[in-house]
Amino acid sequence: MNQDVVTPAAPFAYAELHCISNFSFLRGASHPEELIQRAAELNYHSLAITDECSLAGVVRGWQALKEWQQQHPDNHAPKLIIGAEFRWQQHCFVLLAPSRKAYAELCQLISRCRRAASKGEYRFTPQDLLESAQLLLLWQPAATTDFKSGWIKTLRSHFQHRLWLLAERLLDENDSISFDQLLTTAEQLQLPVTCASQVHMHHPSRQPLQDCLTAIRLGACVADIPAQLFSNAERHLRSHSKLASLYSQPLLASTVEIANRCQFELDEISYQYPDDCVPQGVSATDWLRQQVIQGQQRRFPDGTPTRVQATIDKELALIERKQYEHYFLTIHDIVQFAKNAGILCQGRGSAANSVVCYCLGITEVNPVEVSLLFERFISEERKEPPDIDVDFESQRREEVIQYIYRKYGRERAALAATVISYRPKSAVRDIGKALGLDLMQLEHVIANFGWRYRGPNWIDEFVSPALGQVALLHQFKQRLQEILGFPRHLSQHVGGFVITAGRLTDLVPIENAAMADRTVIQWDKEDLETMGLMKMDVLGLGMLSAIRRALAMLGEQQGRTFSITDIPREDPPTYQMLQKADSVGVFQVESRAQMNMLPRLKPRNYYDLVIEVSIVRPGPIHGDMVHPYLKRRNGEEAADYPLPELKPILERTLGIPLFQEQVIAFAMEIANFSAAEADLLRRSMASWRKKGHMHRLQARLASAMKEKGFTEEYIQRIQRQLEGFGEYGFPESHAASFALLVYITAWLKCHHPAIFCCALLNSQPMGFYSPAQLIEDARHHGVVTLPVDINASQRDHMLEPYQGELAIRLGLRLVRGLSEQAAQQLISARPPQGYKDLSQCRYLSAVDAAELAALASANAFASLQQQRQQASWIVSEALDNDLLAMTANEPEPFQWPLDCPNEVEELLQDYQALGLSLGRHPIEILREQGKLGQAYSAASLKFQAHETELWVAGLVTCRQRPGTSAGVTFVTLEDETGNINVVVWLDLAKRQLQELTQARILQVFGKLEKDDHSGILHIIAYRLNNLSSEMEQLAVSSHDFH
Amino acid sequence: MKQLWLYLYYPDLYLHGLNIPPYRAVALIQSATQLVVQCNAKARQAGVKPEMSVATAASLCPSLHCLPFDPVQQQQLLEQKALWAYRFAAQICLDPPQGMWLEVGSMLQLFGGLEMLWRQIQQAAPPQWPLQLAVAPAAQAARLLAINQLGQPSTDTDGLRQRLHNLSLAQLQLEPALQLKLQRIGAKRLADLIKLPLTGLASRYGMALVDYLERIQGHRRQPMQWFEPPLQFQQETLFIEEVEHRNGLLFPLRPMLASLCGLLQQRQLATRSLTLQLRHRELPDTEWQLGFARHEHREQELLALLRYRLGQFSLPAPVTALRLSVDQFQPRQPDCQNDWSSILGSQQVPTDHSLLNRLQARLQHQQLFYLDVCGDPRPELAGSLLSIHQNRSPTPARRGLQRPLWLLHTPVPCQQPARDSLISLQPERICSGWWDNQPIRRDYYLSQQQGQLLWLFRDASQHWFIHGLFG
Repeated sequence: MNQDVVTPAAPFAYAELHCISNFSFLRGASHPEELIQRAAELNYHSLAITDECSLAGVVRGWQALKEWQQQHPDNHAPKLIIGAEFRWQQHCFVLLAPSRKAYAELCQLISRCRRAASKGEYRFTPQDLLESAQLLLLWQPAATTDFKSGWIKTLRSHFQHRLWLLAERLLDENDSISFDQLLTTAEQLQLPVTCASQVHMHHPSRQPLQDCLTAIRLGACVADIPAQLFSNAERHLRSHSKLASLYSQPLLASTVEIANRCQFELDEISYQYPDDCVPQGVSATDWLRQQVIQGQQRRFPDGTPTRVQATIDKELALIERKQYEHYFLTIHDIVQFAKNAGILCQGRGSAANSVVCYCLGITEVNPVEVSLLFERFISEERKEPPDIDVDFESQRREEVIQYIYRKYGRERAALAATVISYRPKSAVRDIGKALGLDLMQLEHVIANFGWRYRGPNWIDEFVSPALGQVALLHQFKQRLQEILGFPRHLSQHVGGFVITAGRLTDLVPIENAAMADRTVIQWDKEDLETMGLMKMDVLGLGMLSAIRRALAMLGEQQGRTFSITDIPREDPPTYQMLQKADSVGVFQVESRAQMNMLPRLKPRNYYDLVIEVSIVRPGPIHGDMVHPYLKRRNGEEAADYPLPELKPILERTLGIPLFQEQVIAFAMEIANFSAAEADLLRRSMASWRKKGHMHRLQARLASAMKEKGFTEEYIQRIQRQLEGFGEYGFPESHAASFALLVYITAWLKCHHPAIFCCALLNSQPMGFYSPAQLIEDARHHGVVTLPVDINASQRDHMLEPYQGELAIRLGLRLVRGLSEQAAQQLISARPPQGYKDLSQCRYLSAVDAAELAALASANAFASLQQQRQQASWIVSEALDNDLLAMTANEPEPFQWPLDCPNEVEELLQDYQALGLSLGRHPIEILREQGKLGQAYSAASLKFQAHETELWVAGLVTCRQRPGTSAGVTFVTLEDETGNINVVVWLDLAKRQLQELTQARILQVFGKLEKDDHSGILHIIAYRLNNLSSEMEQLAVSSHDFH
Repeated sequence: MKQLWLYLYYPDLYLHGLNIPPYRAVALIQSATQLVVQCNAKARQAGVKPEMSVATAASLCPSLHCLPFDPVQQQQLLEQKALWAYRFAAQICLDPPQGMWLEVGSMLQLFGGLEMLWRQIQQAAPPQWPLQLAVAPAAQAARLLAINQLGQPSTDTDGLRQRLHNLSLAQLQLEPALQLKLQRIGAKRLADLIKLPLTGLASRYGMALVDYLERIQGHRRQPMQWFEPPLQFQQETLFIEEVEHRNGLLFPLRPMLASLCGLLQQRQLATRSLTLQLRHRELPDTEWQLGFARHEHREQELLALLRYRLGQFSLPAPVTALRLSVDQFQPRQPDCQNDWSSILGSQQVPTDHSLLNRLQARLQHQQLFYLDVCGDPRPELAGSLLSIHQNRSPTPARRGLQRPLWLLHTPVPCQQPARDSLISLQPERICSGWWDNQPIRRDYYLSQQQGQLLWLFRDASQHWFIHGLFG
């Protein structure tokens, strides 16, 4: 062996054949990576990962093994054996996969057991074992087993030469007796025996955590369940000397014999793309080419420009070399289904930004216009499959999912899993409970902790003496540290589908998800990436629904079909609108942070929008890249490049790396990374913080940068940026697709504000703003909104001609407490000329009293000359089912005894019934009543000088959750003229927490900050007054204004 | 004589019972919902309100001290207050959670008028518990005025009516859902509600609302359930002929026990102690306290117990009268006798409770312990003695117990045993207890030494100890 061997040569070969990882949830106390690492250090011959009815941890183990081999090329690496453990009554069965076929048997067995039980459970009996023809079986019989029983005979004859009794010395009370018993039994039955350690952890130091996991599983506190805990830490990967003292040589040797029979390696799994989309007798390459040519005719009716044709040829050649045809065709097929069903969709991701995808209709982004190159995103040397995510209208995504299940069947299509892991709060709760801490106190601290401002030292900051005794808290801290990142259960991925040519269960087990009719595989997205399986993301996007609605309305208005391609590109007024941060309702750029960025970045073209949606993200922000970029963009600083060879990478962003792709390319250029290494670097950055030590690639990048003369400060920034991307990856390729939706929605808002607002209202809930805010914004753009009316409203909000313009007629869906079904009934029973009065409406629609009362309260009967309170009274009476009563039981007219409500009461009732009011703005009323003192309106602020100290007031429409320890709170106030941005510093927030968090109407005294370049206005708050009760007081106190 | 109702309202009754210093912010939390039930003034200042979630409350008031709310204790406090209020009225009706009605119409003369009574109550009330009073001929009216702090020591009809009519929907304590419905028709105050036709209100919002409005206005009576002071049992038997021997007491005890058990049966109670008071001609009374290990309510069992216990006393003098009293009662434990007899098919088997009681009756109080097998891996903690008054946790069965009969209280250091004295070379390894600061890491061995089987262990520092002997 080589000189620089880290581990001593093993005195004898040993294979651990029974080992569960933390993917046997709340049982195993070590990550698969840790187990592999430790087995390698101990110089094991092999390690079998045998999680309980699960293969969820094996890919991670396999990946860890590959990495270990890369780092220690000269050392022996243990072999990874794939297996699983099954428990039935007191028996334990461990199955190992010796071959590819056996592996498929195992996947099917697990799938069968899991599918027969509800989420997270499995149903297993020894009968299930008889389906297997190749799997090896290690059997640890229950103490009370009657070896003469029939099923055991069947099992023995079925598993001839594949069955071993499993002896495990755990040094507990009964250990020596049961060990002897097992050996005797084996002799009597003439069965071979092998040994293992029932490994639950890679190292005995994990025993306290293992005890905690047991406690969590049983929902108890460790100290209360001593009898359920393991009495020692023997279930770990043991050293050779320990093994030698416990087991005889023949027993130890038998483990290796078994391991040698296991020749299956995980990378033997080869993925076959489904070929359903290619007609018989045509090659996939030809079929794809044909589809593209058809697309070209649609996209380029005047003939494809030569330059574009060259790109297409290049792309097709690349696809052919990488054999990705089926992938593109499969997505094409799904997108085609959606288009035929009238479901709007849009692809994004590295492969989506190709002319091929543009021709196939997967994306509407014309790569020629925006010079985004496919090659930039796809790497030839990386083995990874291409990445296309498709967003569908969220309200109709389920139809697409069901189509996929229908077309490929449940045996061939399933959702990827998402591994739900312990995060700080869940870790604190579960470990706290397991250690018996005062839970109420703990919840209190959790609520107060200000999580979003905490760094890597949060555990030390969290654990305070108030929680318990010092010694216990010491344990608490350690256990927290250990359990963070531990998997807890499998959940379904939001939309990542795996589709295969053959049976999916030959590749990976399938289990039930919590949702009925959903099945998930036992691997998550990253596992799939590692294994090179094709995944397609079928995601839901609410904005697409709004866009489809708006296009439909536009088409109706213009008397033709109107599609995304009919929207003129690069329209100057649209960009002018965005530059003013006039973006309420516009996709992605409507948030407060984006609204702050828009006037500073001043997007002038499509590519600016790509930058706009990418720049307000953790990556560029952590890397402090935002301000330098803005400076150069505004001409305050010239673009320059750290090194000439970086110019091609950084040119499009003026020398500042903004995109994930740029930083990756940067690393490849500077540190000579391969594409695969660069990607590994990005992925490992996410866990860097958790692991607390720098990844080796990260260190390599840092030293390479140093060599090239970068400053320490710049190196740090690049590192932090990478970390930010690891936390939240949002690559340019996705931004490119999103930017198109930004442009489309902005154009709609700019040129058809009524249509746009109406479409948004009908797609609620979605986005950043409430219906009230959307309508208020539309009002500022001159759009008239008409009230809910029993005879004029449909269920949805509609457009209606009004004084030569289009106005929005609010629909019945806005009325709180009116069900969808009742709304339908009201509309379908409505006579063509409308209901003539209230009682006709009641009898014809047969909607129940409570729902009609809600409608009355929303003032929907106003057009029937019915005042809302009285209408409410009339409809609240339950109806007899007697239809004759219609004439017989006319309510006796009586003088309505109650006072007429005043304006404020009407307003409050509007808010109560609809969540908004079309009357005067509440702030306008308060101002008129002199309740606001000298407060300036939003519109008048721009005439005030920078740093003027003044009062403002408004409805609180947005409030970033107050941080208790650091940071700023942003509050948006709305008055009758517009919005006011208020900045509340921590100091004031602490002093006036109650006003800050509780007020619905807020009056603020503060200093006006004005940025002349961008025109952005802020009020830095000095003092907050809660005026919320003023409205109610006006309602009850005065009858003197109407 | 006209009925007149005085309502005593104790806001945050339970909270005030906790003796919280005024500078501490405290909230009582409903454990099931994690919502604030009550909070003190300090917490209120910081914006904490009832019905708020713990999380919101805690973020508003970082120094907030959260305590669990115990409704049983609150009820007991209210009963205490009622006992106190007995000095002002003979008829009291509790209105949980924190109020009560006193019938004071008949008491006014005694106290010298309403204003005097009002003042006396305010003066007598302990300052720890803020008290809101109101008086009205209609019980519900008094209640609402008290809760809303609108009480006055006056029965002036017009003033009363005005204050009542001005009560808002929220002040009327209506359900939020009903408030919403009534707001929709534009009703804001009681005055609005009573303008509406009753039949119309009833058919729309239910009879309960109409009934409630009628009770507020005094058109309908509020049903009252009089508070009964806590239970006591006392019965006395006089002897025509003096009883000279303790066994002679048993016969007259039987009917008394029977009536006691009748009471216990009727109220579904049990007791753990009886008091027997014996009157003598010359000497002062003798009092025997008889306590049992477990609650009991069955006549036969009680009789048997008395028989055992009487055997232990001797009469200081002949007895002229015998009084049996019980002043502490407990709710009954679920009856397990039926389960036993159905399992064992016999009425003869004593339940474990009665067995215990009889054992304890024979033995002294402290001599009876449970041997509790709690299953801790650490031998010292695997078994523990619990006094019978401690509650036992359900015992999980640990694996087959291979433990010596005699366990030394403290392990005794010893030499490393000779290898051939060890019964097996494989130890039993115990490594546990990290959670309570008594961690152990030991390898246990059986060792045969001088004909004695010993239980030895070696600790983490390789020292040897004897920990037990096999019998």
